[in-house]
Amino acid sequence: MILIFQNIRKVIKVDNLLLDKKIKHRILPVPKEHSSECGMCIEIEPVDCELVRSLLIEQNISVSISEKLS
Amino acid sequence: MNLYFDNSATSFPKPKEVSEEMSRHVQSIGGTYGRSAYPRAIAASRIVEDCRDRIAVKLGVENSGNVCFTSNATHALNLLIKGGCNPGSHVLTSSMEHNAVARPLEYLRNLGVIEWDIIESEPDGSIIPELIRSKLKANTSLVVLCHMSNVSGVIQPIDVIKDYIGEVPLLLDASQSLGNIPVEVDRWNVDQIAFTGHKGLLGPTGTGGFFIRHPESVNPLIHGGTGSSSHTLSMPQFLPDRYEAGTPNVTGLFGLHGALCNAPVPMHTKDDFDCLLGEIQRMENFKVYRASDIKRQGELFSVVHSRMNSSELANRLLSEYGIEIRSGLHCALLAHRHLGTDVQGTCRFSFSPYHSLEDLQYLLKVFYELNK
Repeated sequence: MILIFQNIRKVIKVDNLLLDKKIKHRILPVPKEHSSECGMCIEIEPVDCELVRSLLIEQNISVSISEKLS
Repeated sequence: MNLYFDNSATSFPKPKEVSEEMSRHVQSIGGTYGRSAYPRAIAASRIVEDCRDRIAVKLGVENSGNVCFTSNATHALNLLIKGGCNPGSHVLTSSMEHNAVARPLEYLRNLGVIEWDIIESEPDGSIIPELIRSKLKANTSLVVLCHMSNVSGVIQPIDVIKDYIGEVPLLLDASQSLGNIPVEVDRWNVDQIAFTGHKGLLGPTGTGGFFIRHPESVNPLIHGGTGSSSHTLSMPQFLPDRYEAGTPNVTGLFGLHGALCNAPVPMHTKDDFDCLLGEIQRMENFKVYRASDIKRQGELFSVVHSRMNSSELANRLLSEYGIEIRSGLHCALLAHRHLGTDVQGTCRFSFSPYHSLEDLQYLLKVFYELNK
């Protein structure tokens, strides 16, 4: 699953949050299929999606979650 | 011995981690901020964001996302003043402002965009809060105040002043105060604050920024790439991107981060400084420009000698005693006009946590010799 954020600040904030919670993830360039952004997004395992979604709601961080293409 | 007494111009020395971190970015990390997603860019972006969070703690603000970086405090003040003053508005400021505030205000006044007035103050530059309300007009859209004077070191009572200003936005210039004295933006309900990284915070030049509580009221000064919302030709509305077009000074922010993580334990106390100031004040050949209330005194002050002009005194301090200070008007014409020193200027002595009691005692000995 791909997590797309408004800006890099939020990517780094969520990266820190996932590191803290020991949730497996990696930072990727934003796939063209999802956005025209030239920055970063975060890939997580589908199994962690609901947990991450609830963490982000808790932290009041808006995110667009999509299935990874290609 | 540390004989550099010009820390209000820029701090020296700095924590060794400042240069180490800057070197680490240049020589091994590399990478830009907020563009692309390779490890170098991620590592650089992590430091920039941690730096932002640490600045928020120093400022006393909870919402660190509204801390934006600029190249210095002057850039931040220009952005906030020019971006926030609508045509026909009125601005209030103090008698102790630096040109970083006074010149943008005068520029806008000359264009016919705004009018501005000075709030009355005591002879030492302390604002008289009770007189603020009589200066407020229906179209007053901003009050801009220097938190700590770069000429006399007088500290304004911001919490009290804010009560008298009411709902009009308050922009604070913390160029001399942040890192040197407590700053509590949220508690004081300050709306905007500009800061520099290379003075009290002990970081490198080329770093600075601001916090803004209501960004919808201030337009960006610089437009360009942000690594976000690239599909539109308009600047993003969200922060910090709205005010951070162009690649930031990543190397400088590594240095500032190094400084924030390694602030030194002061080698002298405020009492040591106060004693020094008290001794100098008693010397008959020196007139001292300082706060009348020692509790409102930051660790800098100015003097004028009865027989030597300011440049002569600065030259003697350097050539005979190795002491580095700044003479002249200190880019603060309004302050010198208020103090009555706008013709010959003053000699300013500004301190750092790296001054030991021994350094202060040496300076006092020099003052005694020059007082003869």
